[in-house]
Amino acid sequence: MNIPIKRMLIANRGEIAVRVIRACSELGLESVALYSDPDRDSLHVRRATFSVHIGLADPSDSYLNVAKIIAVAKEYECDAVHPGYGFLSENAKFAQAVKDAGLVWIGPSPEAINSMGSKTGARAVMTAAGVPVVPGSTVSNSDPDELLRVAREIGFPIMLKASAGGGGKGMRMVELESDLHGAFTAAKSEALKSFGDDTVYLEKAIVNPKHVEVQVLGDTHGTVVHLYDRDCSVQRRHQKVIEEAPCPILPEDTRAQMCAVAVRAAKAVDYVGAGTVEFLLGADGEFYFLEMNTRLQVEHPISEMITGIDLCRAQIEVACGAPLPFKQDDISVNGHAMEFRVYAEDPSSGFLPAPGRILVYQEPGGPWVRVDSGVYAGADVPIFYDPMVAKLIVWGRDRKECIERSSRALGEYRITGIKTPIGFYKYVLKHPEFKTGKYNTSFITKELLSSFSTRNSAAEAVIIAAIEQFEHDHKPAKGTGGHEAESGWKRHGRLSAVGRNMQ
Amino acid sequence: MRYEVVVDDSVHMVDVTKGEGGFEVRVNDGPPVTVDVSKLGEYSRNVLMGGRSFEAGVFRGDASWEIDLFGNSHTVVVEDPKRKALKQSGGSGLGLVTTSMPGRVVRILVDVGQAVLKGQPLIVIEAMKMENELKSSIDGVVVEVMVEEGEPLAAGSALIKVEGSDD
Repeated sequence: MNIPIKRMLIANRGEIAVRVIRACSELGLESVALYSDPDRDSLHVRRATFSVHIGLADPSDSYLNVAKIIAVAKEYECDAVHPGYGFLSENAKFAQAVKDAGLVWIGPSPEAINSMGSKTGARAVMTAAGVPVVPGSTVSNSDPDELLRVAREIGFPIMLKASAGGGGKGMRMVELESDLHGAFTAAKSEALKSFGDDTVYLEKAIVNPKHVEVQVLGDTHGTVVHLYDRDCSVQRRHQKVIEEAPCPILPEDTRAQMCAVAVRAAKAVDYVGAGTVEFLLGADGEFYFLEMNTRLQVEHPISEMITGIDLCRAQIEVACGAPLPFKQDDISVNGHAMEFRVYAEDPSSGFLPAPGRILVYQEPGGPWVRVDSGVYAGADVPIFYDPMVAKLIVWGRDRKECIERSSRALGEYRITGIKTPIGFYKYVLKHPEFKTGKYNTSFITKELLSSFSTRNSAAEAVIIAAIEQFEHDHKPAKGTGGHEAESGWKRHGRLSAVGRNMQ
Repeated sequence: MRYEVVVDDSVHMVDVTKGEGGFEVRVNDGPPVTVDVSKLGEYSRNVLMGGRSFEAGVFRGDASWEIDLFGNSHTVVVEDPKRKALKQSGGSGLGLVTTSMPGRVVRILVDVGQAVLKGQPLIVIEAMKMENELKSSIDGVVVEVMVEEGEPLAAGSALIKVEGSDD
């Protein structure tokens, strides 16, 4: 069917805004991007049909400001709003405001967001649907005695989670009773800052699980399909860094069960659009519902790679009322895909954020390599937002080929000016535990990080630094007419002029 | 030209001379290596080291060279040993807490005059929506708090000074 909309507002920034702009462009839609003060020169601003200044660096004045965003959508006569991930993507009030303004909301209904977007609400829905959930409870106040009582009832170790959260923000594992209150206070403060809601939830920690999730897609005609599973167990600070699809060790019967449960969960809330049902897979092969993300996921491209389905395009089509153009039987897994999140972070200092200006930026290419990026050479990585700058996505006929190709592609990726985990990812690909696929969420440990050393390239670094210093020390002083000061263009012009004179 | 080069806490003596086919480099009086470095713009290099071709990213940090190789970032300090001798300074026993990333002070956990233990959290800072506790690297007494809660921080800012207790 033809899409009845012409212009899409994208309420986001960075690589996901660029991803949505691409889908819009392929569907023949114009895109309207937003930017805060530090994002004036961001890639999404450069790529969109229209780009509009929205406010200050602080997200509450820009990417989280519902009133301002709706006003821009109206002023620029947009027909639809895509929220990306993060920011307002799982905010039911924003979804409602978009609908109330007479615009198409690219996502599930505000009701579905409400019942699934809240971890506690989702647990109730899943329990009613007969899906296994991890034992846990909310705590309404921060009274230390009450907190300890609830925690003891569940049993240590305890996982603290922001009820409105995702992406590891406001999340803490607590092993000792004495650490509980401090961790709870910190989680609340982080949750409030990230999601505007400080409700924190206590859950029994399933120790060393695998994180496996199922991609679902629903339309307004009651059809929900799944696009199989992703393994997102390589994490640091409870945040994913490498994902692969499908999960390398999931038995086929468990996979079928998990996918069926995910579809049932989505149907229980009349789910429309792209969503993800996350599970913890225990060492015993049992799986528990973790949460449902009612948005396009950061790692959606690996599902696109193994199924050949453009999820962002499908989101827009079903939001406009189109029936899904494929049935469950039409969807099968072809090969294997991996995603590597390129963060402005330093793995050798425990993944501390390392923002700055990107001086050299060269993406890998070649067969079956995809880069979804929000940056370029010369771009600043602002301190105000998530430190993820790009994603490398690689497909292979099987897992082994995918690993080999990923290793090659990571080797081609060049970023200078900010620190990134690219070298660390190359190391992970060679790690025996990763190779077997049996790794779990505690794979990245202090031991792994200290066994990863940049020292293998330190010898070359010593030589290059000494040569740079030598060149620096022997640079001809400015204004002495040294040839090194001459620009290539000037030189080229002079040489061609000489050539003409000689003819 | 002889340089003292420090990377990952190890020190190397490196001799660099410029020749016809590029540079001749000797590390720790080892055999000479021929290195051709081609500048691909201000921060990008192609390196031919003994004929082996690889790429490097380079830029000047505050007091170091930042070298990117094979997806790894190296902070390398290169000094002329003669110049270095002139600016040797003391200062041991001082635990100066600094931040390597720009951000904001969330909470200050200690007061001037307070005794602290090695590993004790001193200050909470926030960058990129993550809170981080910075800890004391030594046992001692807080002698100076250079920042206030809520204050924005540039990379490299000094935050808290702890003076080591004598033992």
